[in-house]
Amino acid sequence: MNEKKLFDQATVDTNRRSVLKGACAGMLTTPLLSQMLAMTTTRAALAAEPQSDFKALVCLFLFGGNDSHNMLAPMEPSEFADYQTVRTNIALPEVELQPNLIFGSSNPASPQFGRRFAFHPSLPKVTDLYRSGSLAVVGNVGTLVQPLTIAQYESNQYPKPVGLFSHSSHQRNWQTAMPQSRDALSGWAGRMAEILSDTANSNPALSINYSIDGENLMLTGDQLVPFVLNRGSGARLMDGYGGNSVLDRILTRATDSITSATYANLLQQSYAQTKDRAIDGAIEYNLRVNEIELATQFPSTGLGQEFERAAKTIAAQAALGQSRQLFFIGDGNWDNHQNLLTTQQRNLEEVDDALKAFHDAVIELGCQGQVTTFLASDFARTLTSNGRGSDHAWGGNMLVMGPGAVNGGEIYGEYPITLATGGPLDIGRGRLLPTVSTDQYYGELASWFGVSGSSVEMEQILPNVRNFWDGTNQPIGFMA
Amino acid sequence: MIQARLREILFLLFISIVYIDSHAEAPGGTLAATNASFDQIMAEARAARFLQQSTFGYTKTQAEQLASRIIEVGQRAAFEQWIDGQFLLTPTLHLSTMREMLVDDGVDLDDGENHVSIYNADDYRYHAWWDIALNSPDQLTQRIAWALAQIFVVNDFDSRYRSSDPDAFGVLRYFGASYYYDTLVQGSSGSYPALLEAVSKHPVMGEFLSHVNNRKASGSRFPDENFAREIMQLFSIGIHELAPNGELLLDDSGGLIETYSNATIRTLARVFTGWHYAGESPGRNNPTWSQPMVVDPSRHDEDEKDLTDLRNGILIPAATAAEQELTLVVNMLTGHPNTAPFISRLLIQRFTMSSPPAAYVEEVADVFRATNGNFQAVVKTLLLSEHNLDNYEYQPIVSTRSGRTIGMQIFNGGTERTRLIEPVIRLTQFLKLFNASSDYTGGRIALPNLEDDIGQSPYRSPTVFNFYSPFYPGIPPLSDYVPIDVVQDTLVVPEFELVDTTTIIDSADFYREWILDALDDGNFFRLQYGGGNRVEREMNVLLDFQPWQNILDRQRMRALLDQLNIHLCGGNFTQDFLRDVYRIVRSEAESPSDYVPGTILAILESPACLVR
Repeated sequence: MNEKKLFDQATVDTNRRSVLKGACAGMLTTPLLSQMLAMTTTRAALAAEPQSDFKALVCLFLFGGNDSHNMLAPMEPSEFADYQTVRTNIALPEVELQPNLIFGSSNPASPQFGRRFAFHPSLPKVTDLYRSGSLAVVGNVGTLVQPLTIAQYESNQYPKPVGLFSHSSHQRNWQTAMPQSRDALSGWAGRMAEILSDTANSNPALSINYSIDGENLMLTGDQLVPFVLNRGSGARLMDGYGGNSVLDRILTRATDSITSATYANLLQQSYAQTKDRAIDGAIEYNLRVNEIELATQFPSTGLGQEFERAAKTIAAQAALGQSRQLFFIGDGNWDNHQNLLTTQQRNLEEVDDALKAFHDAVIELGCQGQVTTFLASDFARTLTSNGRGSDHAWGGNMLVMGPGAVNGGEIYGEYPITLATGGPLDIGRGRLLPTVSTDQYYGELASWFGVSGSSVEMEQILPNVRNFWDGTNQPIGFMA
Repeated sequence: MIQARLREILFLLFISIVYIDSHAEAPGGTLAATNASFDQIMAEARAARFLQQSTFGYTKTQAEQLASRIIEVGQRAAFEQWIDGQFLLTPTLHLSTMREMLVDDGVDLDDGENHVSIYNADDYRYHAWWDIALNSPDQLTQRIAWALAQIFVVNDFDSRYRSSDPDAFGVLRYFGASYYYDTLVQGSSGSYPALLEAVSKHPVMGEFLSHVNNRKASGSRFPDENFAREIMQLFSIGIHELAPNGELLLDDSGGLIETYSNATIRTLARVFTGWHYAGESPGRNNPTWSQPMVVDPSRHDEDEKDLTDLRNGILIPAATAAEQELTLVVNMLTGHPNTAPFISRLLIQRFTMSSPPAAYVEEVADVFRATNGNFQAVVKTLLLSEHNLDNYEYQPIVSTRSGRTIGMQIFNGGTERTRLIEPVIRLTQFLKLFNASSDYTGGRIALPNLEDDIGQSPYRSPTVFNFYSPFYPGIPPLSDYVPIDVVQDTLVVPEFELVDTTTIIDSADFYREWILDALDDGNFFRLQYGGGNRVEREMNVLLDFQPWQNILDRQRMRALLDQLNIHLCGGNFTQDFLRDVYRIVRSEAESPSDYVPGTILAILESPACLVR
């Protein structure tokens, strides 16, 4: 029978301050670890190493499709005129955009060189992070199987993502990085974690992939499954488990029986395994993370709590024996066919506050250069209005934040030279053909995370990557 | 031939033994005793399983009554009579139930007060829903409506469902979501095209998918594409072409074929223009939830609409009225070759199994096609299909020594023929089995929104994509499984999308807490409102474990396990688990009163109980 490891919390050294100071700086020594983890000797040895090369990736997925041409609007007079003409009643007023004015690029070779843009009025903190170099934008990113011209797109003779413009398909395609398939069962970050886990994870109870948004495809590998965290409570141990009353003793033993049994019915097996992971994971996670306190104040929004959960888990990375961690944070209510202006304003305020708090927590933890947060979303939205909002489109703008990790203050990729109807990327109603693929976007992140660009592993993680990137240099250039 | 081989591989998965002889040797080394004959216990197991599929729950007495009919006329006839009887019952409506409950609680619906802030009046739509699920006689109708609510999905997130303001017809806005739900309840006895049309015109759907106040194009403003997309992707044909049995059609190079292009969406979006809230001027965003939306012809796109790129597509001539265009489109979508298998599969998933074989989808879809999508006929077929009924088999165990029948073996179809019970139905079936009652007005069981406790609640689907995707493949190793006989060759497990390392604990804690409370003071669930200027009210839900205690007292532990196996777990216990629970409860129990709750706690979270 699979007896669970119940630790007495009182025996755990709870001098968490010193843990914090050492979270990313390699100052933490781990005298308690070997007493507490049932690890093989090699794994124990790994865990005892200072995790000075620690890195974390955080995906913020805006479910429903963020209208990212209002998140970042063009401000050169002619470009703004085009923006206003095409967006009509969903264009943001110039006067509201003015405070968040930014320069597109200081690099003469960039298509954004010499152009001004402005972040949405709800994003003053993001604007500051951009100006101070902690945050970058990647323009016109979308799911593609291979590079496409408009003529190729319209000819229907070239591979395209399945289910174009449908929420469920685009969400899948963003997560699997296999947009030509509706049957892909693993996500790019899951496959990456699977490759890295041998060296990056000495913890037998927890995956290095943490979803703070339920079961998640992006973080699921061929075998690896993410550990799902609750934003507030983290990982609670089942009530009554290990308790002393008659009923709790029965519950505990029955739970052990259930979670250690083998089931011919795979649905039953899967349920039992998730429960087993939940209990083992909660015991381990609580031991390492529960008493961590951060000085950084996070907003009380769901998004704020989710980023705080990620920050606390990062703070415990050395104690957890994880030199790599990936987080998935999901946020809903971005499908604004109606009430676009008011809803997006509220949504982006929450994003602004949460990103800033997370940025500050990364600094507090001494993790500059080691934590990168990137945006994802189903698609951008039609530039033209439906009267009250915008509809499903394709290529859009993404934020990448990482103090010390990201070459911030730049717009990478290609923000369209015009948003006008009939522009060079317009496939109708202001749906823009992406010019940067998710493979380039992810390839750059994976490369930073330690996967060599030209390696076969990169091709396992991103099966279409060679259609966009030969693996040399950086595919986009936004990472330091 | 192939079917016979598959039955060997798939269907005859030995699950469990239920002992029926008073002197039989049980695996735990002691006795279980019922005096039922093999036929009786088999009939009870069949009845239990059928009622688990077709109701929100049943009492043991109800299962025994159905079992008696099975013995008299055979299972198929017994089930058919039960279904026909259900369809004769008057549908219980949610709006009138909600209103009655408010009035019973002393709310004057005409007093112009803010019922939401004083009485939490908006919560009564949940109260009514749970009470109907638990107490209404028209169980199958309510199950069909709940299935339809998971296809034609809306939610009550809009703030106006929490407003006490009267609309232009004097209807208080917090009643809105219940008007929609009643459309589903009433539509469940009609046809698919009738319901699709009613849903399309419903102001609740108009608000949810934003086609209310949708206008014809002008300059660079275009019609909203939201409803046009989802009516095809989610409510009728899906995004890939299907064969009549639900299998995917492939093009010459083996690729999937998309049912529509974005150009189709743009054309269809023009059909859904001109509609606005009844009793309000066009464009005014003041919902009138009780009346179908109406058309302002000047806002409707009256140009020709070419939808002939769809299979079964049509050309709508210029100057066709919006109402007529809607009917034409509804009939076009109903007749599209995808719709019958697409909707049939979704309904099968809500009642019997997650990954039906193509032959099962085809059988149900044939009825859909033959009856113009009559939901009662379709559901009757999917329940009575041999693909469902023969999925479980019961065989006698005969003692080699005495020649007497000493037990019953249970077999089922395993991985490819089961599903995870969704949280809402799991809770209602649990409450019914333990005779839940309440001290609330009229004995109603007025549960609230439970989404944070069990991960699902009526009216609370986060998006139009429902609580879970009908195509969700699960996580490894489930998603690695290569099926033998499943439509589209892909095992899917929709309800597992709600299961993760946090929700699996939340749900376990929910049941444990309430069972402990029920033992402590008899209250399974206590709901309290009040504070501030709110009117105080309280409800206690009571459970009755006594019948199960009686089984234990009369027939001992093994009989209790056998009965809970049949009624709480669909007969799914493995012998090993049965033995474990038997040993654990016997070794830990300190008093006779520990056995029943201990056994329930021990098995309630077992995969054998939750996957049936």
